Amino acid sequence: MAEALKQPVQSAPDRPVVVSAVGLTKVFRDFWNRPKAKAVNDIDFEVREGEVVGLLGPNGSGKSTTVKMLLGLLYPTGGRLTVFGKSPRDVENKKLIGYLPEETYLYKYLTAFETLDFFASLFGLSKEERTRRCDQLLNMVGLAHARNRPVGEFSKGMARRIGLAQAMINDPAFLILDEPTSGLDPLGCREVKDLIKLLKKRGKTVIVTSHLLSDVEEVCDRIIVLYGGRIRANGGMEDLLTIRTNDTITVPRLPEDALARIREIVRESVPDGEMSVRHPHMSLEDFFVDIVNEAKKESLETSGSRSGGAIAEYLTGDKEKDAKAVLDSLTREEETPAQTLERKMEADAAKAAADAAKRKQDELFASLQASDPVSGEEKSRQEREEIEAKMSEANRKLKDLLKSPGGKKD
Amino acid sequence: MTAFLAIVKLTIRSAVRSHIFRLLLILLLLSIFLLPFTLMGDGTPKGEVQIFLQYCLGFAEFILCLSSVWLACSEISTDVENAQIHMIVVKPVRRAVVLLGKYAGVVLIHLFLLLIAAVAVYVFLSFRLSTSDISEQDRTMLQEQVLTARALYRPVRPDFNAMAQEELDRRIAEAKGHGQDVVQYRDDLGRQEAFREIRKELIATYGLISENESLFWQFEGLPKHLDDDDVIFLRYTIYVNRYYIQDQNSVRGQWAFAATYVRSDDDGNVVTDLVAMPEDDYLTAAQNEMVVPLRTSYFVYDGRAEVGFLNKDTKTSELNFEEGRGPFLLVRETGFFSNYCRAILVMAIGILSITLLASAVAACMSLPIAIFATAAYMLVGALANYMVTSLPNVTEFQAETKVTFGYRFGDLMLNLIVPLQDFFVTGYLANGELVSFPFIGLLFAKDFILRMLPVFLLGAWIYTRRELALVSKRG
Repeated sequence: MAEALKQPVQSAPDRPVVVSAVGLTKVFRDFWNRPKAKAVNDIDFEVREGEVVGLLGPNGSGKSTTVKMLLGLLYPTGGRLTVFGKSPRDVENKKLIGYLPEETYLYKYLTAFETLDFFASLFGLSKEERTRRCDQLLNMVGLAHARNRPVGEFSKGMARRIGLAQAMINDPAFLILDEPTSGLDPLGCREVKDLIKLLKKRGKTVIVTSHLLSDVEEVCDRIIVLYGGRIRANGGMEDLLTIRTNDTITVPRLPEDALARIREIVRESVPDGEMSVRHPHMSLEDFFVDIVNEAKKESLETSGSRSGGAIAEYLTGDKEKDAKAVLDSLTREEETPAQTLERKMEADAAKAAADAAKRKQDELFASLQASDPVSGEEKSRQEREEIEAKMSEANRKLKDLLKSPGGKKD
Repeated sequence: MTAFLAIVKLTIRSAVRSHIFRLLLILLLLSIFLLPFTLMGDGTPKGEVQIFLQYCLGFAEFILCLSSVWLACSEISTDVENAQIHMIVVKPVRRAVVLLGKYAGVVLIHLFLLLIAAVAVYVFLSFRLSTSDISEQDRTMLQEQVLTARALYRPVRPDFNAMAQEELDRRIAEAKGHGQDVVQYRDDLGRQEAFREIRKELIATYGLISENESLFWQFEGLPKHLDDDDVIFLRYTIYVNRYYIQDQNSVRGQWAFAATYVRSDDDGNVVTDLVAMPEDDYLTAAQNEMVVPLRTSYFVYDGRAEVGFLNKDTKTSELNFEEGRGPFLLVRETGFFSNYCRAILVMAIGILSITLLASAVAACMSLPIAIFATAAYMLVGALANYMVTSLPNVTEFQAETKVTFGYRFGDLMLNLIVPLQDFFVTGYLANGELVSFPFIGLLFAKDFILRMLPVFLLGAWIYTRRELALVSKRG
């Protein structure tokens, strides 16, 4: 099993290869050229167009070294590494790449606008185009109000946002994000994750390294886990994280006797008694975002970065205000008939899965209510309201499920 | 091009915000506006202007050189150490363009400052001259000896080989005449040894004039078409014996000039008559100038002239004219402003060269090491020049004998390393000497193209191949 996890996985074999590493090795040497440390040890992996890949591992596992080799900042000691089929040091290739380093190394005396303008100039963009993109990006990362402030005065989160903006200045086809959410507040984290999802929708390839595993889990299609310079696991999120030996059923809160009956039913199938019942809860991030959104509705001011505005128009490729809608329409426009058919089939499958889930839920409720003749009289009004709220939540989730193209959430 | 200009602009911005650069800028302003009031010349207007030109402009140039070394090193090395370069080289811009952009940024800001300093010094000098109460005589002296541009002509070097051979032949003949069989003269090896000894002796004693003896210097290559109104200056420094300072005083002697002309009553024969100046006392160990008291058409014939000195001093045994200190002839070529602009051009080449060196070193080293290496380079260049030029009877004598390790080392270093002082030509301005275009061209070709540019190309080559992420202090 462990060996199988290390094998290169081709999640989208029909798509062009963006990154290809074969036997990639990096040995750091001392002044006398004696080997000091083997940071990356004979690893093989591929990243294909449109994939969002998470590069995970503890400190010293070789993540940053791999990323720096991808960018041509370090050279491999052994093996072969290509980006878009060329050497990572190829200058022309870099027009397609965006990079957000782990720490944002900015020129402190430049203002936010000047910083973005400088990086845009390195792509040879015209002045008008630079100004347009810089303004849109500043708006997107929530720093439009700090346009003329030197970045040296910025908080870590604000600097991070500028770093993210500079990585997007060329509308890259391949984005390398080193700890993209590090230093950001939960709102910023959410925005970054949303941005990565949007980029994925547009067919961009993204490599994300992060210590915050929940972030990676939320946005990545695939993860590569490194340890001691070697790949310990490489595969799709669904494949690696699904515990196929357990099942989870989520329902609105049930009365104690109903739970007891369920336990009995479950015990019949699971004689060893490995069973737990707990109440699901929302993530702290969701909770925080809700609170801040409430506060924003009350127009409370903050001096730091504000949550981002609309996605930059040049990134959406259209001038409509609703960036997400535009992105969706763009994605559809780019689809070939075969892709459209595939997407339709996926949507149909998702709908069927959701219907099945709904039927299962209805059946469960029906059986519970049938076995509980005094339920309507004994429940207090408060309990009923609670159940109604949970039901509406469940319905909302079902609607979300139907909207999601893969239909794989449960 | 957009990327290149963006890097140039960024470098200039960064420079302006650097604290050390600001400090050096203050020193630059002080050197222009305060230094003149702290320096004392010899009390004459000429001395005052000479000191002002030599030290104010020289100090300004020195500050600009320091500043360019600091900025070039810090702009390039710090970018690598602070990993800011990571954000640049992952964009579609060649590393060579990054390095060139940084170099151009540092050079541009320093050339701008040099221009400001040059204009300030010129305006300040003009203002002081126009407001000072200077006598007509002093003003004329200033115009003729300082605020001018005169080409300097050195005397033709005697053919020491011929002289040594002649002396050797004489000694052999003399020995034969006396019926002596000198062992040394029997074989070629002995004669060669004797020749070398005689040659050394001749070189070492060249320029020494015993009492009631004279020495003549030939000059060639002077302008052939000079007007009678043109003034020719003689510059000289007389020493008593060698140059021990306690022996120096004033000595008595007589200058003589050859008046060469075509005799009219003959068939066009060229004749030379010597015209001697009156006997006079001359201050020793000090640079003096005098106007050659002959019409130029009489003094310079066919681009040639001759100057002699007769030692009439009874107090001292020998007078000495050191080879590097005259006598020289100076002929006006152009005006002071033109010469001033040429001197600024030389300074600009100096800044270009030094920045090129500092950029090359910083491209492959960390900031402290880069600064140390650049400073060491310049120091060795300066010392090499010192080792070669400070030794007595320097060039020929030492080159022939190669007696000292210092000389050999200095000579080698001079061929490899650019001495910083090559670019300091304020002494030329102060002495009213011409900074000629061939000199500027040679400096540019020899120092900038042949010595500094290969060093820069090597640095750039390393820079484009470095693993930049290996050296960062962050990340």
